[in-house]
Amino acid sequence: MARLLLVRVGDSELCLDLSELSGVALMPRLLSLPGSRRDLLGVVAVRGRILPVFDLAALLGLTGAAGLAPSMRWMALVDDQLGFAFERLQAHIDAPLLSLRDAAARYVRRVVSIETDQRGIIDLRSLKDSLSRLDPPSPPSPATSSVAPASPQGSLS
Amino acid sequence: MSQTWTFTKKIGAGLLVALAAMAGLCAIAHWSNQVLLEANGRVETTHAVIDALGDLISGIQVSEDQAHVYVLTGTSAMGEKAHATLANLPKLTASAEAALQDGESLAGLDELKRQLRIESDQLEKLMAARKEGGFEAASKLVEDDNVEVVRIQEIEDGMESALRIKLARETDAAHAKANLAKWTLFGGTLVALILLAGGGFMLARSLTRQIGSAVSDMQSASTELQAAANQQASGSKEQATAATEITTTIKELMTSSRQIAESAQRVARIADETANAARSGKATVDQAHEAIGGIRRQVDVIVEHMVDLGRRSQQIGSILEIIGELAEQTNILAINATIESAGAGDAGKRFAVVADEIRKLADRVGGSAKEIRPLIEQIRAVANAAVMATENGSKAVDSGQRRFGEVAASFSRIAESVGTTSEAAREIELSTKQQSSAVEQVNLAIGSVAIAAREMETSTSQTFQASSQLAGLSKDLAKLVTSSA
Repeated sequence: MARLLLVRVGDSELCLDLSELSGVALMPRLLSLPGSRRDLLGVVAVRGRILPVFDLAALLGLTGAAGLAPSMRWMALVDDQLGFAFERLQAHIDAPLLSLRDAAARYVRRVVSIETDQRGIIDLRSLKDSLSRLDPPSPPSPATSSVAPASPQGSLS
Repeated sequence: MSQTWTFTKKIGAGLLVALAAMAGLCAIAHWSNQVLLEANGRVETTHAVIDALGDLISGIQVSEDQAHVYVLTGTSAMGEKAHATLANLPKLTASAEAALQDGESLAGLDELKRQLRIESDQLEKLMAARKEGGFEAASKLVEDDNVEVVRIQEIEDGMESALRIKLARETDAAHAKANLAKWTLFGGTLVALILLAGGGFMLARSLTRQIGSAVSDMQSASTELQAAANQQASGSKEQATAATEITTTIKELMTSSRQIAESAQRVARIADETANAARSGKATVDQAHEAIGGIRRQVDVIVEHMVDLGRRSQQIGSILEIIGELAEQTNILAINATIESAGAGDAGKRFAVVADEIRKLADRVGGSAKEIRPLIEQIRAVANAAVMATENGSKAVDSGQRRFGEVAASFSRIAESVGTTSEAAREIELSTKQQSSAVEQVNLAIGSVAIAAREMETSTSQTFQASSQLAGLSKDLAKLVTSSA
């Protein structure tokens, strides 16, 4: 059984794997850094640590202009070392492992079927690794857009 | 002669001119007569003086003859006659003096009187000598040449010739004055005739002109009078016809007036009924107005309750947001607990179950909160709509209350107007009755007018006849005045 969080990133609904997260929190007070990357929103203080927060939609190439939007209220923590900001937490999904299928996108390696729709599962580890290597984020692949269609209906079960 | 003078003035002026001429002629004749009489008087005086002198001379001659006879005969009767004749001589002298006019003197008269006195004295002496001494004494007296020769005849002849010359001169003067009087009378008569003829001509011409003008005016006036009489006759006929038509119209007007009076009566009756209905309607409207006031108060209470309901729903919404936030926080805690339990391995499985239950509970709370939120929103919307509707209803009630007030006022005005209408209808009825009475009087007056028109037509025909006669008379008068007429 895979435990997933259905979230809204930009205009798309994608899933996060709880096993890759070290926590979820509402966006605390964000301090922006001058001269930083476009997808680096700033730094926050969480649990006594200073963590960088990245724009998940910008990293995935789901939005044209990076930056902290007022609707970006949520933040997913990875290894208590960095955070990824997204718009809204939609639902908590327990998906059978058999319902997961592989995908070929760079940061979306799996997809899950939710009723009649399929939602991509973001590979936060790969994102963290690429950010750790200071690799610039690659542009979104066709597979990412194909496995992450925006469909607000049917995402809640 | 002035054209403004009347006939009386003109004729009077002509008569005055004639009288003046006649008076002048009379004056001239009187003056001529006076002159002639005066001349004749002088001639007669002269003749009287001559005659008186003749008588005096005759008396002296008679007295001389009688004295001579007495001296010759001694007849006493003759002596007495001689004395009487001598005694009469002063009277004859006085007669001659009396014949003279006042202030006129006659030359030689005094000498003649002295000679007469001498002659008388000598004759008296001679007769006295005859009587006393007889014939011889008387002859002796004459022979003694005691008798003075008197010149009586000589003086008398001188005086007579002087008187004759004066008589001839006076006769010539009388003839001259008679000629002057004759020519003066002739001239005055001629002048008077000229004046009379001229005045008569001017008077006749003026009168002829004036009378001719008057006759012409009279002819034109009579012609106009005929035309006017004709027009008046036709007008009288038309007036009579019009009076008949007016009488017919007035009868119709009387009929319509009666109908109007009946209609006014009906209007007054209906107006009374309408006034009663308006008063009843006003009472009903007042009751409805009071009922609307009660509704308005109830609506105010409802509005207050609905506003309170909206306020409470807002409070519920606020609480619901808090619940949603709590559910969200709980969900976050549950997710984080799930993550922590996963990190704890087997030891965290039971905690993971609890966290999952908490998460599900948070999901249910969040879902319920989400479900409640639209309901609350619906309640708030319904409450707002109810408030709006109630406020609209309150406004409508206010408007209705005002409308009812206006309706009540309208009913009052209607009642007043209907009362006024009723009064006006009664006044119309009364006025129409008075009008009917007046129309009847007018009908009678028109009848009188028709009668008067017919009488006027008759009198107009008489006027026409009189004007025709007047025209004939004016023509006759014109013929009398002017020959060319």
